[in-house]
Amino acid sequence: MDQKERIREMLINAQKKSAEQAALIKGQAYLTREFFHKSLRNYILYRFMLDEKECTSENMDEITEISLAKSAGISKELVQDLDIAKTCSGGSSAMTKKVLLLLAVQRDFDVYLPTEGTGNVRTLSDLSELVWNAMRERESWKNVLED
Amino acid sequence: MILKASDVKLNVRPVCLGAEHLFYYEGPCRFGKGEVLEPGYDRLANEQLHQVFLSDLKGCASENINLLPPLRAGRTDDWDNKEEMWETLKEDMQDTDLYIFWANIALDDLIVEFAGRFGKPLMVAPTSNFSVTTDTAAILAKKPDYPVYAECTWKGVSKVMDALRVKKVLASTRILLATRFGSTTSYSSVDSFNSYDAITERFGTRFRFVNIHELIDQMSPAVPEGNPTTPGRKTPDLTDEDMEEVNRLADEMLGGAKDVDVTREHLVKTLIPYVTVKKNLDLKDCNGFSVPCPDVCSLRRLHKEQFTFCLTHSLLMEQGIPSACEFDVNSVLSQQTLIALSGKSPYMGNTSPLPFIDGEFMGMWGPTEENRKALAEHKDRENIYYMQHSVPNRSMRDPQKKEEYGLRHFAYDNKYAAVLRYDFNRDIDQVITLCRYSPDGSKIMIGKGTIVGGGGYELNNCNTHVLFSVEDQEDFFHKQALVGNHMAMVYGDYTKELERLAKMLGLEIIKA
Repeated sequence: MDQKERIREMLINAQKKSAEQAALIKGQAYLTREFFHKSLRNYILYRFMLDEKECTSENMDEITEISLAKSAGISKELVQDLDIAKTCSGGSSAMTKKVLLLLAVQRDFDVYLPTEGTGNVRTLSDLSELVWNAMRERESWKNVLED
Repeated sequence: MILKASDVKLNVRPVCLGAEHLFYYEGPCRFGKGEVLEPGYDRLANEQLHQVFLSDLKGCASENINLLPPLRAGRTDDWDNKEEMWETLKEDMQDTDLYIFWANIALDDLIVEFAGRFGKPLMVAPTSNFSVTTDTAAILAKKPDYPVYAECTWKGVSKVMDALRVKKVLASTRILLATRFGSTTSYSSVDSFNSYDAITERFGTRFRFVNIHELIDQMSPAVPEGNPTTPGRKTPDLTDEDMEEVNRLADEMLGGAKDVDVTREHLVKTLIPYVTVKKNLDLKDCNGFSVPCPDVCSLRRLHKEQFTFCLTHSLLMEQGIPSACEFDVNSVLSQQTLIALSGKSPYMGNTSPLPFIDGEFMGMWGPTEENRKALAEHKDRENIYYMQHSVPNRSMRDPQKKEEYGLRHFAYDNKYAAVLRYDFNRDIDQVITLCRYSPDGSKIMIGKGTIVGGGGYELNNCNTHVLFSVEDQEDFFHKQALVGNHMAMVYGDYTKELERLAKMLGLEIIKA
């Protein structure tokens, strides 16, 4: 297997595992806050291609940087898209990666994340809390969530 | 209320502008890959950029900057420009001193329109890439004196905010002036401001007046028929509470002084004018003071009541309230400028060179014969200056601390009027910043010196002085001749900050 194929497989695997975590959350008839936080954390780590050991911080910016560094270590191609994106927005690669995660969360959990709320996300717990509150606003989630 | 310079905050409003694309497309000003080009990405990405902007701004703002909640505005790629957005931007506009915009491509015209609509001081964040120069040039092209400031670092933004705060302090300065004859002329400081209107126009500073006879009448307890100068009127005369404060201060000052050569009775008589002046400042909402010297001296009322205003000036300056001898309004504003810039307590006085010619120092004032001999050995003896007046204070080095001091008397013969003494010899090698405006307020002299000694600590009368070296005595002197005698000074080098302020105020800078 050449490097290109290996990377492709890694990406597919990461996407698959994070999708499984999203499905696990969505499949709950009764979703507790604790279960949600834990599963969302797994979802994020899979998307960022990190395992628990590598996740040495709870800070979202730091986790994003760790993920970027790991990706860059594997292949420059993995971070190239983020570099392209930053030239348009004026932001950093890490910022682009973080925004792409927020977009994925919105899509995968069918929620709308309030603009200012996303700006205040500093830690994994902050993000989890923000998504949980956004889910409470959705009719489809209301009867599933723990009070 | 006495609004001190340290109480004045600059209200800064961050404005987060953002553009959102409503469709997927690429082109000359739209690039990226995948989801980055999808609708919805910009909303979240802008917020991340705004958070970085707000965090950078918070990080560079000093304690005197009051950051107001951010406003958010912007447009979509429909190029909308709604009046509703302008209404949002008007929020608390009256209380906002400076707007700092974060912007990106496709938003610059909104900033230029903001300037045209509202005329408020503004900056574009240095992290807004090319928008800083783009917008600044566009605004200045429409109005060359528009208060728009361009900086390429957050440190630069910080300096602009600090300078604008000083400008606000000057505009919030209301100087109480005790008068005997005309209110516009000093009989000793004829180099004071020659037009209050011109100073108000340029700096926003206001002037209030109190007649010296009315002021002195207030320095004794009220009588039923009213004071002689204002019969039947209610006046803020000396109360029991005032005397409690006078006695408390007398105890504190006598208890803390290293050397004392004045009686408690005379100290009390000198503190009564201080308390009376401070009460007037409070009642008239003023935060600066001056009173004539020779023409009030010749009234003979100071002699009768046995006080001078020297200690009043010292104690006010010590608290960061500008106060100058000899009805020198110019010196009051020069002090206020330095107080606001540095947060320190100033000193002021007759400022003069000591030319060293044929092995001797010229001039009759300043150091004693003995001190001159010692000074003749100094490596900078050809560039020595002195500043002399009996108005030093205890907190010049650090406004939070009181340094060692002495108390002496002013009047040689009758030994009345307490004055403060500070030994500047303790501060040799300390750098000082000096300044003074020209009498018409159009120029500012900015000077730097290094303390080489002091004198008069052990003497009575108006003898305290600080000796300092300048880079070029003759050059300093010729430049000083354009602004006048009483320079104000603070410890530390604030020359760059003063220059920035001067440019902002449109002043001609005279640097020495």
